[in-house]
Amino acid sequence: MDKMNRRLFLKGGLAGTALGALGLVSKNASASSGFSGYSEGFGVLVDLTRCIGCRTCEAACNKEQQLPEPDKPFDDFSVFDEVHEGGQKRRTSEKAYTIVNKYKVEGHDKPIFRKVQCNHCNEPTCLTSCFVNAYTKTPEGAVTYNSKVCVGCRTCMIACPFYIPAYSYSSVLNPVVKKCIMCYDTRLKFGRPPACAQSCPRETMTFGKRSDLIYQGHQRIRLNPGKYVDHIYGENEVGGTAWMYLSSVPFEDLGFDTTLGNAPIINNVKEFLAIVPMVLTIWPALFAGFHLLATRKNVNNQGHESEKK
Amino acid sequence: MVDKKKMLHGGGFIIVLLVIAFGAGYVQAIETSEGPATIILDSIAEYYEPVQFDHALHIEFAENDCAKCHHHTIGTPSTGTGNCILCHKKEAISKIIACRGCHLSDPYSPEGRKVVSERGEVFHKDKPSLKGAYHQFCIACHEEVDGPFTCTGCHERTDKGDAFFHSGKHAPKHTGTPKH
Ligand code: SF4
Ligand code: SF4
Ligand code: SF4
Repeated sequence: MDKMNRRLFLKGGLAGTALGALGLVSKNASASSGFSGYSEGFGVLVDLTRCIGCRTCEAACNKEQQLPEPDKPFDDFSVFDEVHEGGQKRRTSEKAYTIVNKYKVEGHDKPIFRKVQCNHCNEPTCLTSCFVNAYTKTPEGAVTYNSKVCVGCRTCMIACPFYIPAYSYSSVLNPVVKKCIMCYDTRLKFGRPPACAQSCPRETMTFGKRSDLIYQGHQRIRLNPGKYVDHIYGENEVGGTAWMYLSSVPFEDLGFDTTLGNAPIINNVKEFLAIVPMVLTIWPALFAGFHLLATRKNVNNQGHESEKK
Repeated sequence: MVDKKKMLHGGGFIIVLLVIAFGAGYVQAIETSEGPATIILDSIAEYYEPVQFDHALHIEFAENDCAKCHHHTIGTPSTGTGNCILCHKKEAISKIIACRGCHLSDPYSPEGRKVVSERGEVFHKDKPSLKGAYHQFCIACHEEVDGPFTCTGCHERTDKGDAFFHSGKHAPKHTGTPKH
């Protein structure tokens, strides 16, 4: 069975929390109750000291995922100065699965760039929060989704600690989730690196086995004293992510949330409560529909079925 | 993106001309102590025109200190990242001069992936590919000395490249003309 069973996952996660709090189990032990974490999966190490903000990766993603025409050309660098709702920098959207943002950090003459896309969590909150089972964590490491099953409730959008899932409203009646799938259909499935990673002139993104990348990341830190902050963001955050980051400046200066902790978010009461009202609102209306959808998914779901339109 | 990375020595033609103009002795000097005068870099020739890398000019820029770019292998490693030479000093491999001799030109093909994933050695695992090595090295220096450091500063973009970037005549219709 290469699909993660959501109920088993939840059970494993919650049991793990209780036992973990008593100091009785290791992470591996709790994983044995249904979810292995796919330790042999692939990942990408994003070394932000290499990124020069050329946006080639954004263009590559647009092409590979056949996304709509961008608002501005990919060599238009005025996007770095855009300020969006609430004073925010650019975020991933249904039209752009990855974006690069520019940061001015005190004490650094040169700007620092940060590439953003789905981090493909080991224990994804989008997946655990989705009550129609639209998400899949594949053994290769990607977190994919089945838009035929997605009901557009936006729970995963709220649940994701990295604000990644976006929605396509091209069909008013059927809004569906859109996000980076680590090029699963076209590349990762065949052991090939994502389009964005391959396109980068600076090799900002190193593709490989996640376990190798952690080793390589620590090696880079060790061999270049003073160059990096001694931390790989994503090695442990929210239970670990397939996409991980190295940086020369504190991660919080680049807009990374450094308060997430190392436990999978499913254990995080605050986030979980935030989801509850949504569930309560939507649950009755969709209750009848779930079972049908979930069943349909099981029938259809032989492979990855993220829909590209 | 074109997977295949090649670096061709394009110096041959120029050298022939030099033989006529200056005699064989001078050419000999170029070939043995200074390397090719021009190197054509055409691995991303789908989106960009091949780059005529003026090797001779860069030798001038480097004030004849080859090790500034050919780190680890020629002369004294001057870059501070000379881990290679620590182990390979006495081996034939340390005689390798061309970038592609060590940096894999095609790490993304199935064969390339295999080579990379099978690297077990501590220091080999994280070695950048040829494209990565060029751009990490060239741009770092260009930034320091105010050389060109945007893509089109060194690479002339093809029409296919414009389409890839949704730029030039492929720019989004609903916005004004781009600034770049
Ligand atoms: S292609 Fe590489 S260097 Fe360019 S913006 Fe993307 S990550 Fe940064
Ligand atoms: S980053 Fe967000 S969308 Fe991506 S796998 Fe993690 S929780 Fe899901
Ligand atoms: S991995 Fe693929 S889908 Fe994700 S940002 Fe990169 S190119 Fe886009």
